[in-house]
Amino acid sequence: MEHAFAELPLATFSTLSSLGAGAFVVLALAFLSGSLGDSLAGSPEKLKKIDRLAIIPILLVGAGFIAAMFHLATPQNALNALNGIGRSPLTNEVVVGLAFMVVALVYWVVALIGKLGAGARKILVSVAAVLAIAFALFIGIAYMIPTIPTWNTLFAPISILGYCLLGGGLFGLLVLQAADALKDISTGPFKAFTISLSLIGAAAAIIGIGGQYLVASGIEAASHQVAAAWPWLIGSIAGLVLALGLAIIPLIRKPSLGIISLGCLVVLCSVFVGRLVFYALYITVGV
Amino acid sequence: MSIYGFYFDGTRCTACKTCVYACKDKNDLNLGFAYRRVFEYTGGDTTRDGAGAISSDCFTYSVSVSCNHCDNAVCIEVCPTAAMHRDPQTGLICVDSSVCIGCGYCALSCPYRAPKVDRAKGHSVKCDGCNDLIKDDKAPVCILACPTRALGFGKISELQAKGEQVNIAPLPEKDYTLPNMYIKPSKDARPVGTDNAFIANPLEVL
Repeated sequence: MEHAFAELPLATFSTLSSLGAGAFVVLALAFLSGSLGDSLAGSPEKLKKIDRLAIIPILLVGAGFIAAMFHLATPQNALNALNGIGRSPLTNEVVVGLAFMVVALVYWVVALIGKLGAGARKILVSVAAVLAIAFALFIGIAYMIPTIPTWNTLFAPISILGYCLLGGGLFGLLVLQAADALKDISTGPFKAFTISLSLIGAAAAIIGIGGQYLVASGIEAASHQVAAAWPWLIGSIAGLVLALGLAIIPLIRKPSLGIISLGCLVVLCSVFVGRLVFYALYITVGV
Repeated sequence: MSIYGFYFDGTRCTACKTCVYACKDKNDLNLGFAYRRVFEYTGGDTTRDGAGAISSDCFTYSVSVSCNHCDNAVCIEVCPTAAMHRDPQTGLICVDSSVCIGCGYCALSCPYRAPKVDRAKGHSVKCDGCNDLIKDDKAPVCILACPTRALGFGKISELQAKGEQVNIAPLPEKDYTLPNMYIKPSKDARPVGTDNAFIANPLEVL
């Protein structure tokens, strides 16, 4: 696991960014499924509260970017990372991530000053959700380097997409429930969509991390890392399953801020451990 | 595409590492950094047969490797800042230290482990083929220092006439990056992906 602990800033970045961005997928579902907008028409305070709390996932992504800075030897030149647009997968990842941040911040600021109409809200939050999913995929794709056989697989983006949908979903629910809005939208397609999204997310996360591990298991040169990562892999998968339960229970039973908060904590830890497993499996085709 | 490349004669190298230290001296490298490294690759078994006779197929050979200024350079491909670039005049791969952010993507990707992030300097560092000397029509210091004349440097077309593109253990399959290193392998040289053999001096090279 030595390589994993050498990449703590990147593990933190990929965890916080995918979870924070994913919250906007659930927020978009909430506003697009109609019932929330309708039921909140009569209680603008709740809507205001949701908007205020939407800064939590934005701050998570921001914290992710700050963590990534600690990985750089010259962070003050970080903007140079935009030079490789279209060519370097790392640049593409940063560009999509920044695009998400800009849209999410514009959404948040315009909503807070009360200038966000229902139509514009739906468009902005949807764009943020699409960018969140793209960001998650691009984070994973950036690791698909042909000379690193244990990373160069589609399981890399699949796992991050899973973290984004399952973990981001929990943070989205956290925002909604902290504004006491979940009970207003527990009817209608929102519930079914969010449960499906959490299931797909958990499946993608577990298939992604498990598939990655199986690919590495087939590579003789990685046998030492594979053996060392085993208990961490099991811990991460167990946490992801628990987080799935904590995401679904508040949707099929009475919404509870306690359960959702616990879910956020569990998913944060399990995704972080999953990322450590990913970095621990690093080897190259060479020396 | 690179214009120049390195030549290595495995039948001459004694693993004395004079090339390594000449390079460290020229580039003023601290402990933990070496742009050229000599891999000592060792393997085989010594066995006793039923009659008690002992036989051995043990081998060891050395490969001196710096940056291979590859034609399909993964370091340039992944670099987000374009700091990792090819000198337009010589084709040698150099780091623009004023642009590099030290993200380490090149170091992660290179299967020869040529680039490394020097956090004290704030950027990636690696062999630039003594680009300054080449432009002055001189040879890289590692080549000049080699006491057995196992190392060479020159135009790719000349090197191709002298040897084969490096494709021996413990180095990676050449097709990943198309290295501009041509070699005359020693008698003991093993193919890429050999089992039952290992790098005997890992602390020195990895």
